[in-house]
Amino acid sequence: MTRLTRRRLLGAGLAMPALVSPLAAMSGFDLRIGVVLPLGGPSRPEEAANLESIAEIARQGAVFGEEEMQRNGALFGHRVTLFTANAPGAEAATRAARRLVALNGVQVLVGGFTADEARALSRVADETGALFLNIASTSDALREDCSAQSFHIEASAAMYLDALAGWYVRAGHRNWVVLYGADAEGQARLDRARQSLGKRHWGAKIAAEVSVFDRDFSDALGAAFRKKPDAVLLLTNWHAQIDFLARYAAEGLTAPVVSFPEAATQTRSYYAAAMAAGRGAGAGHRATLWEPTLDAYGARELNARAAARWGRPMDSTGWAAYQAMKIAFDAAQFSGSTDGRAMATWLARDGSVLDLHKGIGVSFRPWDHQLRQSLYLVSLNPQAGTGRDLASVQDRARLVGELPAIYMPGTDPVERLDQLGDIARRGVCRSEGG
Amino acid sequence: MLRKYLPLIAALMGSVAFASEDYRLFVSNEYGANLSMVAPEAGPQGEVSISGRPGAVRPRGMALSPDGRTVYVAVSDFLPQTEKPEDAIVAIDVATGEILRRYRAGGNPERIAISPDGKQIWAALEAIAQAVGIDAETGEELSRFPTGVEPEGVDVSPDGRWAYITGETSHTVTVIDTQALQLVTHMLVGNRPRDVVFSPDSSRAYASAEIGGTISVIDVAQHRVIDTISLGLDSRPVEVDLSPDGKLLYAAGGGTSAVYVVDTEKGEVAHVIKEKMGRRPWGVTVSPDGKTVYTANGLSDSVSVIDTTCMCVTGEIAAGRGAHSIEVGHVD
Repeated sequence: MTRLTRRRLLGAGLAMPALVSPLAAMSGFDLRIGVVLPLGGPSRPEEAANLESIAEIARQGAVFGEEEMQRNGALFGHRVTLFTANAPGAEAATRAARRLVALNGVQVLVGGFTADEARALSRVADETGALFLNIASTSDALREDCSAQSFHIEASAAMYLDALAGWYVRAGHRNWVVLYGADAEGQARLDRARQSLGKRHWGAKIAAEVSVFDRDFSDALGAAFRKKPDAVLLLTNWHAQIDFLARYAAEGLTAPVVSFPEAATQTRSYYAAAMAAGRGAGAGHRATLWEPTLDAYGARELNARAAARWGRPMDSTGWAAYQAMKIAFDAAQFSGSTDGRAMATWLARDGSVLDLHKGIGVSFRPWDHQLRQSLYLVSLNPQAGTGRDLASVQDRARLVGELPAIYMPGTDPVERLDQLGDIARRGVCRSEGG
Repeated sequence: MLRKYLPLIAALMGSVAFASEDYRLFVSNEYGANLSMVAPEAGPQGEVSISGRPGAVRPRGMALSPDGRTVYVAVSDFLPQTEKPEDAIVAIDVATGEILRRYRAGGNPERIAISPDGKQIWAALEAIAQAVGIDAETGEELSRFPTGVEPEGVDVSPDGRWAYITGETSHTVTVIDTQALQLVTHMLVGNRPRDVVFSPDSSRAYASAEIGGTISVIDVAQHRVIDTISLGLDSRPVEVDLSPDGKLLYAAGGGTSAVYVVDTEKGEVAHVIKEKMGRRPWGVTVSPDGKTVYTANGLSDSVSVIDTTCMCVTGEIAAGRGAHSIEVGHVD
């Protein structure tokens, strides 16, 4: 049997005169998008700041998005061009973003793998009038700062924590030990976790809060042992999460560990590492922005195309980067302009609805420019084995939930999606000095 | 969509009006790899197996021959990136349920339409962003055309001039001149257009937008959107069909378990049918006399029966797993 892939068919199609649109020659817009990625170099140490793996996933998602938007744009003579820059860290990201705007003429910046990088790109967007789409930073402070030019595709920490609290507390986990990083982001996550667990309607109790510095887990493990919690909420960075899981499993502790799902933890590779390090403790449930086994709402087709393009499942950051391309394209198309400020205005206005393959029209909240959307709960599969083929890698996790559930006829879709995160209106977002 | 061919059939049959026993419903079952046959009065009449691999092979969109005696179904698989023999259009005899023929249609055909003379089959090839025309007699490919990514809805105008194909991620309708076999233009419509249908006089077309919650009204002479009818942000319309006189448009609200009825002259929603609806109505079709509307319900594996006098659900008939689309075939 001849295996005819989509790429072969597309390639063959391009050689057929009938497939060349007569409209391709018409004058369309010229959309230029710059993606700032912390790809780093070959000698980067294995540490929390090394985000090379998700940067590469994002690069693939952006390239895939560029290809599809080029195809859609060709129908009307539009051009879509992706520029990538390798820039780990906020300072490098700032320089790279300014170069992309000045030299390549990009109207859209995509990136934000840490809060500092996202804030740096947001400032460049304010300075230059470019549109900035944050695809990986969960920082709530970034949302509170809210620039007119910045929009957040990645879910906020508040959204993830509300989703996790919703799932776990309803499942009977009331008594919690919370572990948090000894930095500003760790403290911010702790503050928001208190809201999710205690001040919303979940009725949970925090038995202990323990700060984790570097890789010293002695106090954390002691609290997890003494307090006999129903669950341990682990709010540290991705690297410390792996180390903690290994120590926790070695101590023989059994309460479920609920890990904060920063972008670097939402990959099939990370799932394998967590299960290897923490055995049972690493194999629980996780919240995700996207799930490559989602097969409703057109997600099946999107996931299949992405997997065929790269030979691996599309993890969350790849989805966010893909959708950044699509959002930028739709904003240019429907605003009638590639000017960054015009696109930002269109994205922020009431009535601008986007289709991001989640089965429901989504939009950005006007008061913090956070994308309203559903999140997913996955269950890691310790029986997945070590195969590296697509099916085996995909089998490392299974979709088990969606929050908010989008199939709720008779309810307002915006209110439905606003069940997660900080929904107190705070006016509108403004650029620095604006 | 038999109403499109009513004038032609009436001429062929000496203006014999349809009675309810004259037709049979076909429901494509996406997860059952089969079609359910249903008699409107008598209920289920058995199944047509499309493949012995349920869960792997998926029949979805359907269309009817001009004489109403052959139903065509688009068949693909759940591996949209690889062309397999299952990627095909299957022709089935309405009276006997016998499979008459398979047309090769690589690239995951999702929805299809037949030209009024029955000579052309048009299909949206979902995985490869193309529309294809096929000679119904020889099975030869007539031509292919680019569409937006994830093309889905297809219809051919009753005058036989145009094929319209929706593109879900591009928010477009692609226009093809079916006689010259030329691409004419692309139009922007609502967000995530799922399906399109022409009015009986070929002057208008209506494209549903699932995420936009709208129906785009298209002036066919100009290939231009002239109106946008809002069904509500969360209405999520998918398949659409028209009453025989073209005055009422029925849109299956898959994500809301409702059917939206649009008065096409006023350009507004006339009714929303929710009570007793099956879950996730994806397909919708109107009986030849316009008195009954049927929906294929994907989550309740059933057909809802709507009486258009009361605009209410009067019955539910069992279908197969993952009911996707529904068509009315002529038995005589």
